[in-house]
Amino acid sequence: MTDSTDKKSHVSDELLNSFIDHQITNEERQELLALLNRDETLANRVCELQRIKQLTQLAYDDIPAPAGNEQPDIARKRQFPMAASIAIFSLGLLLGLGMMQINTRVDLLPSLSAAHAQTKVLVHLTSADVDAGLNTLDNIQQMLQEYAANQQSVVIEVVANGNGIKLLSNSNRDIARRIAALTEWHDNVSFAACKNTIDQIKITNGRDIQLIPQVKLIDSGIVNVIKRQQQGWTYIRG
Amino acid sequence: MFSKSIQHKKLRLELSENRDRLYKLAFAWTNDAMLADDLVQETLQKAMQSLGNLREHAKLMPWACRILRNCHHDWLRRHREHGDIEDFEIAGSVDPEQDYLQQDTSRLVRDAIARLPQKHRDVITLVDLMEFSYQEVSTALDIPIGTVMSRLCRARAQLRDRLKVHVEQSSTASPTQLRRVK
Repeated sequence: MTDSTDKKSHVSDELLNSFIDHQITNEERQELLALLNRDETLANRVCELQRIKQLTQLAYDDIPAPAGNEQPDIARKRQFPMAASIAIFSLGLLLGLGMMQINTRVDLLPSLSAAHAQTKVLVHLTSADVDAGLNTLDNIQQMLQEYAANQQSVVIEVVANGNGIKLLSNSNRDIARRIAALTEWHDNVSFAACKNTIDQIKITNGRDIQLIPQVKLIDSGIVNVIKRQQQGWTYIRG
Repeated sequence: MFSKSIQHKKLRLELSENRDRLYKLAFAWTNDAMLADDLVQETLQKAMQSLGNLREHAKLMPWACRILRNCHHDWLRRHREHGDIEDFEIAGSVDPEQDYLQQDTSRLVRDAIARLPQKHRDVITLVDLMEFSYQEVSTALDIPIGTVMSRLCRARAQLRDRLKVHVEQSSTASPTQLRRVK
């Protein structure tokens, strides 16, 4: 990939990197999605870049622990025991990789006045940031409550792949408790984890991922994300 | 004055909470656990002593990473006599061929990253490990965003080339879980 520009599609590697790093505008994302749908070579390039990104994220999850000479006021944050992921992108799944990123703040969530009989929302977890994860769960809970209060129908599916898998493991009690409570009180919210990612963590780091009991396993997180978008679900990056 | 003190307390807490992330970044830059820990310790001390210099609190972590980078460069200057710091490769901790045989993907990837020029390694680790935006990387490294993008592009291209054989091998070993698409 030393050539910075693809002869067929004239899409630079810089733009493709920006795409997988969520650094482009929604308009650019939509344009690129259209290209990916008809250019197999381009889709393969995206696949390779995504894989390199995830390999990099994975590589430092099992590094030696620091020696422990910290000052008393410099607390060490609890480390996650699990690895990051390598999502496996088959040729076909790449065709829908361009997805609209929507701010996760509640005020930007789908409008309650929408004419649709049922609002369908896909929340995509790709980061292991616990605070961001808890914030996403807050937003989900608020959305469920607002729709219920307005007697409107909503279904929310939370899908995790890549680093997002860490949030759905039972190693984080705060997240686990919140998910248990959400699924107990609301039938219209579900959580799913990407099996490809979990398998890859097992291969790479030899670790088994223990998911929160309420989380179901799906073959490929990214395929599910794309499928839902094609079905008209609203995409939110958690 | 009182509110400034509270803000600084929050910033110190945020720095402390991000210590592991900084350590991971420092390890990626040095491939040396002890050195990485020392650099993070030095970074946190400097950061906490100079919080008053931080103008935008939202840029705390890019600012901290900039301090870490400066600490690392200082260390390199003290321990290396010649050459451009930004072009330094660091020693991989293991033999790549041995790793390849052992199917130790993490070590293989770390070794490939270690052999990147420092300027490329800085960018790819800030984007992928710290999950920084390109703007934040630009702030942390004090380089234009265009340079961030081109260095990231070069870094990933080099990694792709260096890890190609391993990926192909993995494909044979476990075609449903890791395979070359191309």
